[in-house]
Amino acid sequence: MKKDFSKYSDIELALVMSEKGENSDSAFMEFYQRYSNGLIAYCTKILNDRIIADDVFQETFIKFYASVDPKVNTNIAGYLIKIARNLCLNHKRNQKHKVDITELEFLSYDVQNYENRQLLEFVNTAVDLLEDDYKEALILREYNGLEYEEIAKVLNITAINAKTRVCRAKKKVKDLLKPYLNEITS
Amino acid sequence: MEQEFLIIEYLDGEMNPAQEEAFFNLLSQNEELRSEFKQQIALKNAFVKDLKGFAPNPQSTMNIFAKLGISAAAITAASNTVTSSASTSFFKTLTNFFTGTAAKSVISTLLVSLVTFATLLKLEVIEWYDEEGGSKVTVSNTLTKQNDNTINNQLSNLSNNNPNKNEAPQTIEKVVHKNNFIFTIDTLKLKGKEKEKAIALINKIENLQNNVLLASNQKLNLSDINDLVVINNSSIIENRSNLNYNPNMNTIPSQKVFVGSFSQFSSGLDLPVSIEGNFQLINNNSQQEIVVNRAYSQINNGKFTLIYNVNSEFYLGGNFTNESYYQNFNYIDKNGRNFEYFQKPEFNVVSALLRYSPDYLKVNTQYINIEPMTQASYGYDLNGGGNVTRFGAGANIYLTDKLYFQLLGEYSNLTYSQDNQKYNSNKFVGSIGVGVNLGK
Repeated sequence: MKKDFSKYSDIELALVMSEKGENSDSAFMEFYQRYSNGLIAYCTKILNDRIIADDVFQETFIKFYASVDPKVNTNIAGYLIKIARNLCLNHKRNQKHKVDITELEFLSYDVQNYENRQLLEFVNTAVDLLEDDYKEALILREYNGLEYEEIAKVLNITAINAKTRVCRAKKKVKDLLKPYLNEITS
Repeated sequence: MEQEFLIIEYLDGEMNPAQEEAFFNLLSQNEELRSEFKQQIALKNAFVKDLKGFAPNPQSTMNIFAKLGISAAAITAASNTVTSSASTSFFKTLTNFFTGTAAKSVISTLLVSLVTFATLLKLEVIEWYDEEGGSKVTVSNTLTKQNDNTINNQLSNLSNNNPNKNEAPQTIEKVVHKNNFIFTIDTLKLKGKEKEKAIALINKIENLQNNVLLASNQKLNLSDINDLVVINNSSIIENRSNLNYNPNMNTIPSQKVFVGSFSQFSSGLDLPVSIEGNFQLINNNSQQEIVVNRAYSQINNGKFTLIYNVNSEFYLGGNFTNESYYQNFNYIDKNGRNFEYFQKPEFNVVSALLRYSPDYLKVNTQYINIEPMTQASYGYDLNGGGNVTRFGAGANIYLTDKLYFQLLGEYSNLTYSQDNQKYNSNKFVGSIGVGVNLGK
């Protein structure tokens, strides 16, 4: 009888995967199901390039498949992000992140007839404008749903620091989007 | 900043009930905090919406699975086991692709498109038309390049045989006919001999006979416009292959042809009336084993119909039905004795009939025409046995343009009275019939 892996915890799935049995592929696919969206969001936002992000995304899952060990990797989501983060850093090492400052200009446009889509674009741009440390903390928190402790482990900082970074990142984004947020909430 | 921390803690679910209560109190008192709170909520919603816009590229997914050697079968199996809502989107798409559903859909669509396109290729138009002082033959095909070439080749052959070789292939000067003839896929249908006679008419037209020879199996329809002939030609290229140039054509004088009226084809009786006879195949009206008295009838549940064809869809007529109905009723005689009757007497019912046979449901093929129909009738027993209402559906199946078989299912209801009491008897009858159309 086929197993319903959607009810398995990450650790249970990792154990099934590590057994390399008939269900290991299915367990991997359940992981993929759970984390692929968040991971591609992370890669895309960190790298600002969807094509490179796709490459990193693929590499991440392939490395994960080959290396996940439930005895060592107790936090699967964090482990995946760590793999992706290292790969992203490798890609970025030789690239200088550029933000077109003119992008800031549209943030002061008239907000009378904004739409959700516009807001999402503005949020994207605002997140892009954050310093990398803040940006990453915010993405890990809001897009990957990691706890502060998990973020701390990924970023090699303390949990308090992680929380501070997330809060500051949100404040910066909020400040950048203030005209729009005021319009929305008024 | 402190306020923001509070809000973030609340949104992160890190407050205990007491802290939450305090936070709500603060919110109710502090307008600035409320505004800040709303903005944080809006921001959080924006993040959630933004995340929804991210999904892995299907190609990336395929690459990952391919590199890991995960088979299509495994993906299928996994998708069958995964019941999470997300699995219904991504994995099902992927699975459908692997299992061929999507591929089949694509192939089916392509095939249908191909067939449709191929059908369109046959939608050709050829025209012969006149001009003052001399007729010209023009063959045009606006839909297919390939067929254009076919026509051009044929016309080129014609042109080679034509004494006047300077003419362009599409325009050959010769007197053909003063009327216009348009060949196309028709929307109207002729049947049986009617079709053959119409084809014969065209073939008889003296100055066309060498140009248009229609096979007897070709469908043909003539409109009632005097100078227009519309021909349904399922194989237009065959038709064109008979376009052999005949130099004698130039000497044949123009001739006006009136087409559209086919009365000349009809011989004998030409009334838009049909006669039908039906015999029952099924009858569920036999709740009790009651022997029908056949002393005065041998056509039990048989029907004879005369029906007038009002137009192509509506028919009005009448019928006579000899039939039996099961009856069950109580009768108290003059001595006060109660009798319960079970009987199945015969009735001779005369009914008025309305029939509807929609054109859009009619099926016309080369060998058989099927005309589905519905009908309703109301009548009474000639011996005063009761009134009969019928509703039916069936089809007339034309084997020729005059003779048809009829398959008919009818629900009928007899209402009758006994001792001022009303009773009903219902039955369903399936019948087969033969009809003759006396019209054209």
